[in-house]
Amino acid sequence: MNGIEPHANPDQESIIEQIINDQIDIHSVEELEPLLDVFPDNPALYRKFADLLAGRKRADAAMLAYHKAATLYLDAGMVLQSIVAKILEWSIVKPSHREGHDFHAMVRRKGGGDMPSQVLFSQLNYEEMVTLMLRLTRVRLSPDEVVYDAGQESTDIYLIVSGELTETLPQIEGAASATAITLAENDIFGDIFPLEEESLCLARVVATSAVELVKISKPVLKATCYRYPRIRELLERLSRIRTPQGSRAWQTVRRSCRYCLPADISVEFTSDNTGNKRVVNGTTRDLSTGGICVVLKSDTTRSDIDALLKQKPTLTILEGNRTVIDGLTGNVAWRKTVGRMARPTHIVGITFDPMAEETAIALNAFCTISNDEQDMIWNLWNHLVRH
Amino acid sequence: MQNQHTENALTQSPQIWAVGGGKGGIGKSVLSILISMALAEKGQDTVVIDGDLGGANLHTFMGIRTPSRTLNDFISRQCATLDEVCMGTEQKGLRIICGASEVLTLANLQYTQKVKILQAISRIEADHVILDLGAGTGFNTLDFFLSADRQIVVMTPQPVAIQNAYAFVRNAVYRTLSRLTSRRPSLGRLVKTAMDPKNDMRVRTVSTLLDRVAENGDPADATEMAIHLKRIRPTLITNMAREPRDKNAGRIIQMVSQKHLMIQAEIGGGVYYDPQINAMVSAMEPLTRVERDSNALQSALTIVSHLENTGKG
Repeated sequence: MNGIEPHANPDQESIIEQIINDQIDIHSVEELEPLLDVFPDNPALYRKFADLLAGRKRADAAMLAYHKAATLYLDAGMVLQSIVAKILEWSIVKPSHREGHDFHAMVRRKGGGDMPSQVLFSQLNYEEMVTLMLRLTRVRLSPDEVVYDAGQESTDIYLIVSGELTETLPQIEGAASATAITLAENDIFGDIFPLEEESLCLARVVATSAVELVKISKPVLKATCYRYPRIRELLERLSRIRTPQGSRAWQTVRRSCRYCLPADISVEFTSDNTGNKRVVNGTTRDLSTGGICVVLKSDTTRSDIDALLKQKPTLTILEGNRTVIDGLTGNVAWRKTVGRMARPTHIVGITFDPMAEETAIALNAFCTISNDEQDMIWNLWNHLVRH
Repeated sequence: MQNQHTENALTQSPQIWAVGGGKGGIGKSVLSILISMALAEKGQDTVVIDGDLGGANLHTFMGIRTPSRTLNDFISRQCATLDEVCMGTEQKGLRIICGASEVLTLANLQYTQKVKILQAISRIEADHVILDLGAGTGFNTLDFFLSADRQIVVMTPQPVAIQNAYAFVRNAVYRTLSRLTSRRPSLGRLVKTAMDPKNDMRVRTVSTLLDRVAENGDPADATEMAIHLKRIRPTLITNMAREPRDKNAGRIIQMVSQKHLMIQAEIGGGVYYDPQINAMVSAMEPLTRVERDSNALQSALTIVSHLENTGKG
């Protein structure tokens, strides 16, 4: 992966998003593993964990982690992301036909959706899907890295696994400015059609964030489509689809807020052997019914953190000075210090203990509504309210 | 205690308004008072109740530091009726029932206590009772909200507040369906599963849920559920609007609720941000002293007039 200068911003962004995007560096498997206890259903975190394991040549563990990531992605309707995790899993141990068929059945059953890559994989039969999976090559890009320029010979077609890029069409004479379109996860791009002739890139495509793509080259696709013409039909049609700019804008916003709403947190614990209670405060943007990542306020001392690690904290979720949910207990599973040495920011990941049904429902209501509902709210907010 | 009821107040149950919205700090209490004042200004005998059972503070907006009577006096049977707990305010026709912040256990009301409070509210001698609900989507809050004749959902124009207000409506819908199916284990499980936004059944809307109910059980069950859902008619009010566009926040919840929850919400209008209100709250000055031509009170008067014209105000 291309290196990205860490620029953690724990006060304003999701900690999990920052870890996944490498804005908060985690190089050690041991450091990431406890975080999976806090967020056991996060597919991107499992994918990150699997990549770390694979990098450490721990093939068996990596294979299991990729398998878990693929399953969680599919549960979340993220077909392409699941397929990429599966490609990586199967690159370690070749699957049996049974496993392949089972995975294909799951893609057909749980897949679907409106985005181009979702449509693509939900419509392929088993042979077509496996053939395409075998031919996809992974590409990682850093922000500002150019995929191709207008006028350059077109050599590949790309599917966006994660991240964002800008596609800029050359400025038309008389137009005020060039047309720029945001491409994001599940989009397909690349001007390689018709496959039988040389073709030129019609636009400039540049990564605007850390990006993961999968690509297939023109000659390979041409050979593949000779036997499987439906792959060509689908790719040709879907690579021309561009999501309207308004919709794309909200999707970008949603991604940064997917895990939860920002909230204030109070963490109470016993500070020493005398049983004195201590309260530290913080904020969170990473909350699930399984656990929470709390960014502690700047007045939290290292001794507070050390004491907190040894104790069983009780958490209260606040909105302003009002208690929204209280009585949550758990264990500190993970800690991280980011920022400058002179002014460090402490982050803790806490797994929740089993909780009363009413608390679980309240917590679920607080941190989750469905992606569809959330998307519609953001989309409408952009259109109707945003100034 | 004032005893200035209109003729209607002495002969009929009051119209009950519940003001909720999920998120704290969006001005539910201030809006409850403004609506109460607007109704009182129109000559309607009105009682505003602090329904935030876990963190009562409505009285501070009326300039009352320590209430002499609270809802707890009724719960603990020191007062036989809620009318006895009512305290007068500086505004003619407006009384207040202060919350019981000293009894934190009230946040976990027993069912019988809840029923007792609801029955007592319906017996208050007034034209209108405004119930200022606490933040969050706890069962008590939702039950009080659902029992009201007029269900007000408040939000500010910020995305998080809109999302919270929507979550509040969503939870009210599922609370209704859960109660309806509480004695039907198989249907109850279906409803409970559908509440999870990422459920494996791929039920993403209430409409799909009702289809599943009809497929798996008796279609009459689905029909009954749909009838109950029609009774949820939240009125959406955007508080602290600074520009006309901000008032569209209610439209968002209206559209999302219609699509995902089968709920026909109504746009109640908006209340403009008014620095005078902030200053009064900071100074603990009674909001009843707000200038009559203030943006906030004028907005509340417009909302009340609009709701009267739509037949439910």
